[in-house]
Amino acid sequence: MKQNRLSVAMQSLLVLLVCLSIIAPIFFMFLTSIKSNVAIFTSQIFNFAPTLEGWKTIVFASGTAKSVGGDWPLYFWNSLIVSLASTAIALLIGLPAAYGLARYDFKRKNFTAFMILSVRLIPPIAFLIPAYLIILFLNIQHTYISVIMFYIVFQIPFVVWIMRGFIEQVPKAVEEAAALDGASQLYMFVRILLPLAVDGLIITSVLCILQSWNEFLLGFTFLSGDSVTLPVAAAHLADYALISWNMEFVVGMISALPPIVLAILVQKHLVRGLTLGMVKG
Amino acid sequence: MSQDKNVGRREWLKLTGGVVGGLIVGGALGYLAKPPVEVPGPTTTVTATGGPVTVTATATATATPTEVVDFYVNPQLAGTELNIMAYDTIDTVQAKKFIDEFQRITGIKPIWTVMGEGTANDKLSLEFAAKSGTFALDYNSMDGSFVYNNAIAGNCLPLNDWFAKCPKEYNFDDVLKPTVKSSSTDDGTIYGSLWDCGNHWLAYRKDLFEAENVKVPTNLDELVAAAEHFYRPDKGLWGITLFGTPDLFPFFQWDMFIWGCGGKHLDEATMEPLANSPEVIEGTDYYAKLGKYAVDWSNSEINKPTTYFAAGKAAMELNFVTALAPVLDPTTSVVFDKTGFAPWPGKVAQPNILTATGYSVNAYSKPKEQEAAFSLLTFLTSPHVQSQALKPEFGWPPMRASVVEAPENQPDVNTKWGWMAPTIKAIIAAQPPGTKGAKSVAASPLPRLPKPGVSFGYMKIIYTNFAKIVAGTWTAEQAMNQSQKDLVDLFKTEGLLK
Amino acid sequence: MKMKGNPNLLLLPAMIYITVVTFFPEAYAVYISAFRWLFPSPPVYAGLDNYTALFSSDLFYSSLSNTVFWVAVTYVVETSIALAVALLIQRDSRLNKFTRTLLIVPMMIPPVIVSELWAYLFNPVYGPVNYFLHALGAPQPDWLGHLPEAWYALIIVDIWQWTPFLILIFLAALYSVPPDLVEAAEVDGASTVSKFRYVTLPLILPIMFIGGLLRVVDLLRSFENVMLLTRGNPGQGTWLYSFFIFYQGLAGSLQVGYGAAASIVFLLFTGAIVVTIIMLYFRLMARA
Repeated sequence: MKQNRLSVAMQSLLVLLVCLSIIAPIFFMFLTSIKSNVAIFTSQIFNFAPTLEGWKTIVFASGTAKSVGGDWPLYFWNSLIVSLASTAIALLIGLPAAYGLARYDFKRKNFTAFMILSVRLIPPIAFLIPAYLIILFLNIQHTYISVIMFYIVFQIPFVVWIMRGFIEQVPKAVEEAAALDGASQLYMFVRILLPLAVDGLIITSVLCILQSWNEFLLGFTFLSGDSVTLPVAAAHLADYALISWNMEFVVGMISALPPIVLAILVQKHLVRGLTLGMVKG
Repeated sequence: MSQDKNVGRREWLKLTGGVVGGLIVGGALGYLAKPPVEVPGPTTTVTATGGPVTVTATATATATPTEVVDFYVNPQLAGTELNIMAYDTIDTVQAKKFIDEFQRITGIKPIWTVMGEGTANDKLSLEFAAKSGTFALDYNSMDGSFVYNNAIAGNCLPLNDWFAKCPKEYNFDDVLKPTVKSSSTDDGTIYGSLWDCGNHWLAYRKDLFEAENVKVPTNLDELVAAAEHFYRPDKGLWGITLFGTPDLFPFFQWDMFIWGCGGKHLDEATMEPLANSPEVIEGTDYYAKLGKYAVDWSNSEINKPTTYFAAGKAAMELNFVTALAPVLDPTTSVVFDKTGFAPWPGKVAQPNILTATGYSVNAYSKPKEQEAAFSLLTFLTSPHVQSQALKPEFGWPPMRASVVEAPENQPDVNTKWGWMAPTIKAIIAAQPPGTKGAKSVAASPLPRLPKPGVSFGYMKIIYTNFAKIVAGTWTAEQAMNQSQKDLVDLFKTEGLLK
Repeated sequence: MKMKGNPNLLLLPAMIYITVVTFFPEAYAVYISAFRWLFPSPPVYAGLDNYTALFSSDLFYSSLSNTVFWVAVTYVVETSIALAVALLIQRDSRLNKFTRTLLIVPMMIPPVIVSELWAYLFNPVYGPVNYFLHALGAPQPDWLGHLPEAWYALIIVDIWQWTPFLILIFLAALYSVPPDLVEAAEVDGASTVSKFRYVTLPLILPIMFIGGLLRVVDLLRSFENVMLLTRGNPGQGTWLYSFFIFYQGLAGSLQVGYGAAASIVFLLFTGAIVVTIIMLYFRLMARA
């Protein structure tokens, strides 16, 4: 290559800088989680006596009454349920639509596809207020269903657009062969098509779970008490008068871990998923 | 090629399925994993006679307690789960110290949800709007004026009947009248009870003031001068620490400043807001002047000022009595032995006692929970619990006259809670001799208006416009003039003004 | 070869669900916006009053202009950084591969946590950023409470979290450029810059557009960072429009009629921006 040593070294240095800028804040998050509050407030950045109080309080939710800030295993569970349930239902609703868009030609096809995509472009804050009032009238506030309902609609564009691309990639010959053998459409879909588009299924599921796991605005408005998800509970904790930064970051690290792990597992298809199949990653 | 693809995919599937499965299992385990069964803590033996109480703690978990029950107990409530929404102030910490006893006597299981005050206030308005009775016992912070506002909106349960059913040992007459008045409507219906009553005070660094021969401020001009004197941000010291966020906290500090200059919220006779009266503008102006010397002014909300002061970053702090308490705790404060206390240095002598944290019963909860909530409410305000108020290991301004008047609790600045001496003195002074505090007026931080929600609207207008002062874009006068305009507009729309 | 026929049944669940869950709340919002409604008091019919109040409110205009400024500046900065970094790490080396995986991390942390983290880092009194600035002898600004610095803080946080999104997209775009085209240009004697400008850039433009559109849409929605970092401070100086809607409609006193009006305006505004971007793009493509 026509690059000289110096240029390569410079480039590597810059890349290292990029890596450092990503790692440094996270490192501080970890460091703060093992500091005591007094140390944090008196600006003891590096010279402090580490303590595991924060970790113990959060992980074991100890105490007769629910501990300071709440019942963390419960909130983890809430996040899990809300993410998985909404993803599952979004898949059920979206997969047929993806198949329809992938395999059929019909008059309003592009319009329909675009309508589904436009949901991704709507800011959720725009329907927060009427949605909240509707939820109050239906008396489902503080329940899982109130947030799941909306998470599903945000996930449908992902399901439809990503799976559409993956389904289109599967050659029609496979389906035609199966049809000749007398297979019903449903059988064809579930037993033959899906396994070949499994990559798409995985990336879709992961992205849907991620979206719901990290969501804050709707959860903060609709949920309360026992039904809060991790991000909402973290925001509540942060408001703490005696602001326990150490506990806040313990929660932070625990909430961040599942999304990061999942995303890294599917990093091969991540770009494709994030751009709803429009960019082949 | 397709073979490789298949193998690749299968592995993907297994791996991801494993991860998801692991997450589910992990989540389930996490949820089911409960801490080891709690061993009951040391029991307390209590004999309540309505007067000073002796408490002996025994370390054995099996000693049989003997108690005189001086609060509302209904044996049929045993086993009920009681959801409490509480703010994470020192009051909650203190209240929680008595919970084991409550649970043992009544069998009611309290479940505390403790939230930071800022988010909690947002939440509370949503909660009541939703008419969800999730939390049967609501900690209506700040004080009775929140209870009052929620009461006229129908969110709180009237408690007169239940108070009548309390055992005579509860001794309702003993409760300081200002605290009762602040959580009642004008027709005498009681909607809650206060856990403590207090006021704003000035905390200052004795060591710094003595070392530099600065006089402890007794009026607002001296206060501003002292703050300026100690303003050395490059050395990590600020003059003072104050509330300054775009939320409700500055509003309660603003109250003190306008009262300290002789102003008030509105003319009760004509219902006209007085935001642009000279006294109010003067008070606001002092607040604005002080803010320049305040640490992290625009981001300081409820107890952040205390954390800054406790970390030694400020020479003074103006705050609620109970919010100042953590400053004296050696585990959270580095200035615990260097702090002095003085009365709030207003221009006008501090006329009113500002009552603080209170509890009300949620009108939308199930009846059993409501009753359990009332039981806890009377427990926390019972003679034997309140009599602990000034003991070394506790510490909050009591809301019962007997405790205030008890000889051993007379103000003594040498005891650990001697810093509360000024508060106690003021409470006592507000009572005409021989009576039990009937005369003192509890100033209401929020104006008591007949329409629910308008008081909160009032507060929101003030703090939204005040935020511009914090930002340095407006002067006090500009902010208050704008507030007056907005307030008149609000009052007219809601029919309070013609 | 696609099938002919009627896929309506297949598409029905998705279309119905989307219509019900997005269309109805929006219609309801239009309805509510005609009332002056201080929840939970009963609503009072007010016609277009909410809209006139909105359009004569200083806060409305400042929030809107803040949002436009925020989106424009952040987008330009992020795109520049992303392009530069993508070019830097496109070769296959161990360091680059590691970096590409590392880039995923900031995107995946819940935005709430990221905001909290930076609220701590930027704390003017005890935060590490000012600590290091102090050690370097540089001035330590009040990051979250003073005006130009508060914007810098917000922009830095967004850059930290979301530039990786653009970097990964641009990387994908760069990889999609056929190497023989680039080599052909090299053979013709083109410099690095020209190679990039005339060969690579036109080919990756469509992908940059998609990434850009998604980024702009997400920037318009920014909420967590304002709410948790500055809370709109100082004054209402860092109010973004999403925070404006939330604060007016749901915080403290619930003026839901006014909030609904603000929401409708926001929808139209976002729609206008998206349509403009798409039209601009097609114009650009037609020219190329």
